[in-house]
Order: sequence, then C-alpha cells, then structure tokens
Amino acid sequence: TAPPKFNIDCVVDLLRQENAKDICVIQVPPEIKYCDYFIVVSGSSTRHLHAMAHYMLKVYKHQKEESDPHTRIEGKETDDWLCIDFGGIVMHFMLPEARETYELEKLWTLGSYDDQLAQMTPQSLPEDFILDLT
Amino acid sequence: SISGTCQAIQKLTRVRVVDNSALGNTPYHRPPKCIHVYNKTGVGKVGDKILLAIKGEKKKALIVGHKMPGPHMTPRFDSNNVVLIEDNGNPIGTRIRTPIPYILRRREGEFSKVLAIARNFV
Repeated sequence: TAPPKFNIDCVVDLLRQENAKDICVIQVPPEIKYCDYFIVVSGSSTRHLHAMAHYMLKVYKHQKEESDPHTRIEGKETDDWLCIDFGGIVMHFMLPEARETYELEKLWTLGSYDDQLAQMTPQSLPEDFILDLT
Repeated sequence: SISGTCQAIQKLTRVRVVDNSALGNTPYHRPPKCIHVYNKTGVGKVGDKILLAIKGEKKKALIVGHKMPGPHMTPRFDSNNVVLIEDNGNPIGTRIRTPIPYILRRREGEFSKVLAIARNFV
C-alpha cells in the first residue's frame, strides 16, 4: 500500500513537481504545541496557488483513510494567501508580495527576536481597562 | 461612562485590537466598538466574526478572547481581544503579541492565518 501522507519528504517532492518556488519547511519545536512542520510556499499566480492547494488535498484524501479528520482549504476567496492545516503539518501558499508583507518564516524561526515584534513593543493597556478580579 | 464586566461580545462592546495594524494602533478619541456580530445569536464568542467601527471606518474582525468564562479548560482573558481582518479573511496586521487560544484550531472557520501570525499560544 502507499506510504502515509505524514512524510514531509513526500510533501516536498510533490511541491517540487508542481514548480513551487521558495519552498520553506520549518520544523517547529514541540514546546509550541501547534504542529510539527510549518511549510511556506510561493506560487507564480493565483491559479497556481489554487491548483497546488487542490492537488495537495487530492493526494491527501487519496492516501489517508480514517484517522485524521477532513482538512479544508482556507482562503479560497482571497487571491494571495491560501492555507491547509493537515494536523501535524501546516501549509501556506502565498504570492511573493504577500510573503514579503507577512514574513512568516522570520516569525517562526526567530521567535522572540523577530524584528517586526520588536517594532511593535510599545503596547499599553487601554484607558478604560478595568482589572476585575472576579 | 464605564459599565461593569462585559459578558462575551455584543453590539456596542468596546474591544481591544491586539495585532500590529496601523488602524488598530493609532490613537483615536473613541475606542473601537462592535456594531454587528455575524452569528445567529447576537453574542460573539472566541472565533466569531464581528463588524467593528474604528476611526470612523467599518472593518471586520475576529474575536480571540473575551472576559466571559467559557467552557471548562478554556482560557479567559482580562480584555476582549480582537484581530482585524479584511473581507476575504486576510489579517490586516502582521504580528500578534497576546496569547491566542488553541480552540481556534478545532473550530470550523478560517483561523490558520491568524494562528500563523501569532506568537504565543494558550
């Protein structure tokens, strides 16, 4: 039978087949209990992103049988950012401009030392904030 | 005038924008208020979309935490936190400093983008 879809190598091979640009796979440490692998991929156009996302979902549905619940594609109405959450793996398909704006790789690799986070440091409580110890 | 503890998020609740968008962080003489909750009941819980009136503009937003105690073993926040979102679901800010609850992952809806720009999870 075909090997399970868990394989990160399988996913990366498929992305290379699809001519995805700038495949970035980040292994997330288990302290951040979100996922094991975080993938960011660039595409050349909206249609390319949609095609990649749907192909990934198709392969996943073909290979995975019962254990994981159904995954859905988020961001279908947008034209620059789509994502799929496969439980252990999270994939983001973005256009290069969106990638530049959000810089997800920087956030997930640098953690607290991210420069965008440092720039937004001056955050104070709003004036009408009441600390209610109920 | 200041009212007592807010129970979840309804029309006319003042909310706190927690991402680093320009619209959320520039000071204005009126706090951002909810004007509509996209829910069957008019009460918004974590993961619901609401319409916000900020700086004289209408923007959609996602609730990421409220003061009302929710189901057991879910976090309760000291302020009603909200993340600004566009009509197609893309977040307007690029980073979120406050902790975001994990329940968003389970719920039906487009939350992976908000989880991707968040820093801490609860």
